[in-house]
Amino acid sequence: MIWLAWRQFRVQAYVAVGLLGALAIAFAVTGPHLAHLYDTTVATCGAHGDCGSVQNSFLGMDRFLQHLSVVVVVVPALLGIFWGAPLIARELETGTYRLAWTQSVTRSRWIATKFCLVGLASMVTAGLLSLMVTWWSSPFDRLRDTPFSNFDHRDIVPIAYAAFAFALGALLGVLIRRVVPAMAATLVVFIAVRLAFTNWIRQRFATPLHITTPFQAPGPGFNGGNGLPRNPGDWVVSEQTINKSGKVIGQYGGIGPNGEVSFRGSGNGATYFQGVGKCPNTIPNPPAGSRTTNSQPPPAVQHAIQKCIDSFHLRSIATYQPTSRYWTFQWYELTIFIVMALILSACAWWWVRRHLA
Amino acid sequence: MMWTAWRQIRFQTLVVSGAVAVLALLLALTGPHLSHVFHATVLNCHVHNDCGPVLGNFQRSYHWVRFVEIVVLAAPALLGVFWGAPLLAREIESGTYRLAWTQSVSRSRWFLTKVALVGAISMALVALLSFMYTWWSSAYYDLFKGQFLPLYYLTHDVTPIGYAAFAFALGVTLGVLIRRSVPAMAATLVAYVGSLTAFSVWVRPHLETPLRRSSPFQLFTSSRSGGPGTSPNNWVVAQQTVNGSGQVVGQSGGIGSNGNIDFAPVGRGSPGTFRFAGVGTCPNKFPLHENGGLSGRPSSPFIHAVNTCIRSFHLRDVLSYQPASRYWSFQWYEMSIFIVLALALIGFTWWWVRRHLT
Repeated sequence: MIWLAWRQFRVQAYVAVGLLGALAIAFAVTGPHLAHLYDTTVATCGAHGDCGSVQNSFLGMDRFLQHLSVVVVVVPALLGIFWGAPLIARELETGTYRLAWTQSVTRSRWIATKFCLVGLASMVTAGLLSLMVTWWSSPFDRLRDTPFSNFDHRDIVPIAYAAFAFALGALLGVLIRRVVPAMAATLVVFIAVRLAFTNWIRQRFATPLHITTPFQAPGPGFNGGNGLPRNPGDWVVSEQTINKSGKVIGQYGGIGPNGEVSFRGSGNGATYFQGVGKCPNTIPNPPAGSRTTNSQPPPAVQHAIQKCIDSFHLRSIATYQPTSRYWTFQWYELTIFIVMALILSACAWWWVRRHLA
Repeated sequence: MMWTAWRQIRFQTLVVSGAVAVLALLLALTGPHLSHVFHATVLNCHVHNDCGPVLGNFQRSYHWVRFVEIVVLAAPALLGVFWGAPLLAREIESGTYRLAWTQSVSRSRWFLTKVALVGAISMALVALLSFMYTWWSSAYYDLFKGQFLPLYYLTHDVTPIGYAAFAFALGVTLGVLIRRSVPAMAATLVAYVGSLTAFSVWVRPHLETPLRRSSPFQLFTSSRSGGPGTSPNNWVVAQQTVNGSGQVVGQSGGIGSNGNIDFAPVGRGSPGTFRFAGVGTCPNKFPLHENGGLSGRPSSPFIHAVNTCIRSFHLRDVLSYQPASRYWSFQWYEMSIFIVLALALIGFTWWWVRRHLT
């Protein structure tokens, strides 16, 4: 039975090995040079005082291969579509499963062998790919130091994605019984589950930490947010502005849905902090009236603005997952996807035994 | 015949059109608000001095821009894989084409009806996606320039229509040649991604002869955006360092393959004589107390000597770039090229079906 399953899967396995091999060669040729360059230029740039230009030119190295590492995101989905979905669906569509079952092979053994062989092959493929890309990209990742932005295409989670995509494809193939529709359905469901984890579920694996600081008037420039004290590699889940009674009145260091921080004078000499309230003090020549673009308002105005802001006791709260939780999250996500894969496989197995005649 | 072809793809067309319609509706509902926010708060944030939070909120409200971009980028490939490749491969694989041909339908008519109908639907869907996305993201890209950046160029305006035609035709061709659905689908995906990558890397930079701008070589002016004074929408195809005799000695504002700029003493025999690695021996003498290289904080006499040496070689920094004004001619060129490729593939497949399929 293993022999038959292998014969049916042989060509696809060779294709995967060939592609992995080609990528491995490309990485092996360029990788050691990158690591060496990192150690000799980027790691020592502090002493030379030319970090800006050295880091920039380093990040520009092998741009094509850097972009190519996106394949780690795509490959689990492709394995689910091209290996998982047709696995049983093709036999059902063409009727060849009847032949298999009339031999000395039980249905359970038939499906278990196929699942184990191709499922494990999917996981090994995704695992090797992720291993190579993680190794090759490590100098760039160390320099950028934002591990959570690469979370789903580094280290161990791609293995679990591949297992899940494969089991999903196999199950949908059993249920839909036609190859091409099963492949399309696999793609759609897989993307939906992955998006749900990336955008909503992953950030809830552990209670996030908070940093609270008094609200500050934003300075000029495009830094985005209030520049709260935190590690640059932390994953900032939200950054909210709250008022004295704890109500959320804005985000990313601003007020209201658009994040403006503006003051408007009224006829009677009072100044209003838009979206918050009336300032207790007066602000000389409010900056909304002055047309000095791209420059700081005069110190007297700045001082009056900060005084008005302070009177409302606003606070900025950054909610974040610290860098130190990266590996915990990797193991969590790996476990969840593997468990989902096992459940889907069990469903497929049960369905074949119960409903296929 | 038209009726049969339509019946065969009715379900898929309705599902995909439904998905595209939902996405288009979401874009249509959120677009005007985003554009309003852009004009009301982002454009005059300098006046209020609140650019940090305003831009933070603005980027947050475009949270889904990357997702929609990937949908538009992937749509031609997916239509080629899921519609193009099985279109004839499935009929060949299951033998149903024989039935079709024994009716009153000629092979040519059978082939052309199917291909024209599904091909036109694919192109129309991708065109709708691309135009909706271009309109929706215009405020975002007013802020983050770069019309020639691959992700912008490949997903906006008219090029996606050309890609859709090409991917579909590629799928049909490979389906007929391979005669089995799943392998044909895999082959279509690989061939499409390969062709588009090859075109982006080797062909697009030379669709028109790039303009050149040359300036004296200076230390640390590496810049892919084209340097000060040029539009961020310009596309810098290459930045080369050229020596006095016109030979290319480096790129991206550096010397040699690694871009290092390195000065080292020649040897014990001639103290103060330095060699500019990859260029030549400096004609001037360097101050002796420095041990070479740019290690430590170099003294100002040393920097002066370095600059004198660099000037003596008359190195030039040559930028080759495609100006932003060529964006539309590139878009039309590229769309036409891919549509012509698609027609050629369809022509070849038509001939193949008449000749080899019995």
